[in-house]
Amino acid sequence: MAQVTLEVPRLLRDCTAGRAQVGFEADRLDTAHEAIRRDWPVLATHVFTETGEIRPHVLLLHNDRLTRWMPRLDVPLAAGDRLTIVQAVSGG
Amino acid sequence: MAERVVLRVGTVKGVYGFESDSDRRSWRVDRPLLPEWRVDSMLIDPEDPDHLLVGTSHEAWGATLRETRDAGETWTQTPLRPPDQPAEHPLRCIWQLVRAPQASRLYAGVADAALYVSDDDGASWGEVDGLTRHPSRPHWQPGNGGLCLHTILIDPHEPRRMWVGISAVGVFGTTDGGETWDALNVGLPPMTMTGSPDEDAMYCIHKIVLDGSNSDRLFMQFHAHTMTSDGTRSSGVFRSDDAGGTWEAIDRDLPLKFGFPMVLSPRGELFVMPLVSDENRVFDQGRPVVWRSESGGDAWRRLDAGPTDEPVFSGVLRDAMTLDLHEPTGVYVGTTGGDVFASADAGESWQRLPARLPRVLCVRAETYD
Repeated sequence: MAQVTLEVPRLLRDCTAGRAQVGFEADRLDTAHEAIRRDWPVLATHVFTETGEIRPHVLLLHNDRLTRWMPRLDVPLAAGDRLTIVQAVSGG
Repeated sequence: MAERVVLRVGTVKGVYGFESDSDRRSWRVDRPLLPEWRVDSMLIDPEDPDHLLVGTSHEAWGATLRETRDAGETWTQTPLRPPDQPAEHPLRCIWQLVRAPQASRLYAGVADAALYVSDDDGASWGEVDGLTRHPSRPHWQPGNGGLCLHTILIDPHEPRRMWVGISAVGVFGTTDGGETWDALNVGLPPMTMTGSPDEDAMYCIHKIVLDGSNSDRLFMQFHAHTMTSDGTRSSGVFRSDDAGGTWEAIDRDLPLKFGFPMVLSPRGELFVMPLVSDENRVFDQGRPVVWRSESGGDAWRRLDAGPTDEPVFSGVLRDAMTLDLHEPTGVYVGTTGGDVFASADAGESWQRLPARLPRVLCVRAETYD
């Protein structure tokens, strides 16, 4: 398992006790999704749809790369990697 | 007489508070709360003005319930549906929050249309899935505002008896606390333009109110619509005297039938606020007008609600009119243009409150000693 950082936008920081960054362990992008749901369920409500997809106007970046267009989410994570939650411009 | 009247106005960008003493002539506006969030619904604690529950949503971030007990200094968030619980239909926003007669029980109406219940004052929620198991559910179609369960009525004398209104679906009633539901649309003009093939699910209900002193009597603002190619319009305001079993039009004297909000005071004053039509959802000729009936809808009186020195070409949404419990009744209207109009005498005279807000979605008032 790699220790990675999740960066949280200002509007959602009440879901992480006011913290802009939280650390957690995950070995791949897909298991990172599971960790977000498990460790921050209210935050997860804002990020994921009922069917488990990233919401249409939300972007999740892996080290500044968009994950939406990745063909697979079993991408390995390395220690120090960053995941960033961003509101898409389409979201208002 | 109460010493303090608190008005909360939910908008597309936050909640705004107004406060007055009991004369309701001089209002102070407070700072906005949750200014980045759409506030679709609110529930003010009648015992504590600092305690507020709001249904918030956001185009990107979705919907949750938020609660403050310190007038907005701090908030807690509760999802109505846990994120690890897969669901067939999305939860887009919380349209309605209602406190039930039972201790600690709240109901929430949401889009896509469903009813949720909490028995711990909102800390946790579950779906009343008897409603969404109704056989007509596959044919439920949205209105312009979405597929929304926007009205929840509870018989104060027998709380297992309830009614809900869903756009653009219809009225459903239960007598067993939500286990089973019946469609209650007899007498309403069918609306094939909902796109639904189901006779139980083709009615665009805009608002329903329950007469608290006679729980068999309900009133409805319906989506009056063009019914024939020659322009014949349907009725828009209805009454039921058999608990929703049948509906009868009561808008013969109303020149405009289309509208969204409807409110009923404990003294039997019924208020509606018509708009031009479903094609043009603004005040007719720029004049905000409230109509009041004190005869159960048999007769109506026109009350000009807006300023006389300039036209107001905006509209009013279904939860953006409310009353207070003073006598005479206070009436409050928030518009899609961000104005808030208030009357301290049951609609006889009006003032515009001192702020222009974002588009108003819901208005709630409460009085405190």
